Amino acid sequence: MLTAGSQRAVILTHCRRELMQEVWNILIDDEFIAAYQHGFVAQCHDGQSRRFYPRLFTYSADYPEK
Amino acid sequence: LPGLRTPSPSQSPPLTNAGRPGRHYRLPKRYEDVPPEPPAPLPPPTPVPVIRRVILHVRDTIRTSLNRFGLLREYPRRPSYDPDASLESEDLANWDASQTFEPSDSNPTARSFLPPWPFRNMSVFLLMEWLNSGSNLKSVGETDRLVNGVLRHPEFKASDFEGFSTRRENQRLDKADADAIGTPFSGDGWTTSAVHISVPTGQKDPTGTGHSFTIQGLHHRSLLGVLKAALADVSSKRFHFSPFKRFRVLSFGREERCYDEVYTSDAFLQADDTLQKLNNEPNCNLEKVVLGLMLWSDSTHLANFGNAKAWPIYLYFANLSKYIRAKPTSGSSHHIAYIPSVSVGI
Repeated sequence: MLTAGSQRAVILTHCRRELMQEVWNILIDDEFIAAYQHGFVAQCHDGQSRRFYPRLFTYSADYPEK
Repeated sequence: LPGLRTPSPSQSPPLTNAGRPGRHYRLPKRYEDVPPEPPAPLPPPTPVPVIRRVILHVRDTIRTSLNRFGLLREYPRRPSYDPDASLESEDLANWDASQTFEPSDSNPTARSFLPPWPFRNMSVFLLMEWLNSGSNLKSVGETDRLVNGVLRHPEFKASDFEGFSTRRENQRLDKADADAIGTPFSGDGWTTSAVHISVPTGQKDPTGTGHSFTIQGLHHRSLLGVLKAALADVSSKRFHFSPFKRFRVLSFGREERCYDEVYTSDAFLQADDTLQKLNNEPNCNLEKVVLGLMLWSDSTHLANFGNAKAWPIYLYFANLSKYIRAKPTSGSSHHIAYIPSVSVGI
């Protein structure tokens, strides 16, 4: 679809960024958002149940658009 | 100061040949091997005053005592669980205390070359014979794993293996996997999706959306499914559910904050504080816990030759100590997704 030329690298960079964003759009699904807002109950190793609220602390990545 | 030993005056040193008192020889401090030590335990809970029921957001900040390195923990709220309370020395160091050098037999003529020679006992002999015979696919590391993880496990009983067949137990596992709906381990399987992105074509487009393009082959797992499975896994017994501040007490009572883990950071303390001030979910009195996620992605070359590449996303838990998380054998890295390559499609 893409023809060779100076625009090719720019468009590929655009595609990789769009892809990364779209992948996260798929990964952060409704059930994850519900768990983020209202928590989810899980039984822990000590036998107690607790309500866990996922929170993002770090995201380490290289520059995916390159 | 702890650890500083003063020679007791009553114990007079032995005399030298010249009749003068001998010297105290002590290893220089840099050669002193200080074994690691877990943090000091939590103080026992104090009886809760009745007034607590009326005041919202009561903080009963608690402090532990110092361990030998002068480190203490300060929790803004009493934790319901302390994973560091059960730390063994093998969790803190790589060395194995049981590995001691045994001097060889002093009388070589009386040595026997019958089994278990040259090993300590028959159990070691049998295992080493198994390792060095049959298939050569058994590695030293895997054998150590077998010994330390299985044979030395307190719940391991040789009598449990009556009529054991590896094939049959594998079938049992496959069957359990297939009908394990509703268990914590059921929701973290892999699915494949297609990703739709829009690509500018360079032509005038009144809708402004560009050319829609589909990239096949995104392999991913449900985030929530992975979280639930990880909490059901045995490694979660090392999770810290309550953040705390770690301090090092210097001389003259000065204190220095130690930033060593995510769960001792201000960001975690802040996130926990915000969460504790939130209203509980209706009809839920369970403890609210911040589950810290740490994501990581990096495109990786899979082989030394060729251009086989993968672009994985990994998930780690901030509730786990970095000393466990960073160990390659700890199994604390969770695969979330494998992003397909753009150039495959275009």
